[in-house]
Amino acid sequence: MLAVAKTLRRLEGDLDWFYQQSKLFKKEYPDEFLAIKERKIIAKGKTMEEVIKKLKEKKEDPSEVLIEFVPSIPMIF
Amino acid sequence: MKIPLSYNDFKITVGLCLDIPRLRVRLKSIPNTIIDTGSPETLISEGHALRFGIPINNLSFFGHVNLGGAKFELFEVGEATIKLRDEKEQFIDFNFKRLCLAKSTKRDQSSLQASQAMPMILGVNFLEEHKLSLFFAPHENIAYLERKD
Repeated sequence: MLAVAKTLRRLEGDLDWFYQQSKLFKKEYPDEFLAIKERKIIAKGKTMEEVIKKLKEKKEDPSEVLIEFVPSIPMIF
Repeated sequence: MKIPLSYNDFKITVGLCLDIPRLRVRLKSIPNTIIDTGSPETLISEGHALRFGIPINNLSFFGHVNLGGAKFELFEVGEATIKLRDEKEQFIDFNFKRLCLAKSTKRDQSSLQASQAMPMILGVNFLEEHKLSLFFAPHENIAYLERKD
């Protein structure tokens, strides 16, 4: 469970960073998915499939990386 | 027992781990699950299916719902264990029988993005099944789930 807790904390740290950068990202990457690892964008694309393909090419596990969408208009579910 | 929650961007969120042995989804971390008292269902999205390798075509169709004004299909994921952390950062297991997966019926780019970007939602059925109360004071930035043990 230690490894799981560590991964979750890393993803939460990356999510905080994503929120901090959200204004900038809305200008730079509207309507794109960003894959973030250790506060760096490691892949981006218009669909999740595109991002996952790029992550696999980089030998990254998509389930271990934060993937967030940057909506140009707010999304409410 | 208390489970601390985060209040960010006008949303109440929690980090959790998801275990669905039947689908070989083992201890996957989801940092941005939304606590949604407006949702009767507990849901993961098409985006989670893609990231975790869940074959949607093998899941049973459960029905249709409207989410944010768009029509979504629901698929039955079935039994799952949702692991939440208490105040001491210890994981607590919550076994849950009716996790569903939501996928937009429309496949244009904007609908597809919404369907894939949708966060996991912990709905009222989860809170009720596990006798969890939600305390939320946004003006003080305090949010937590509580269960009287």
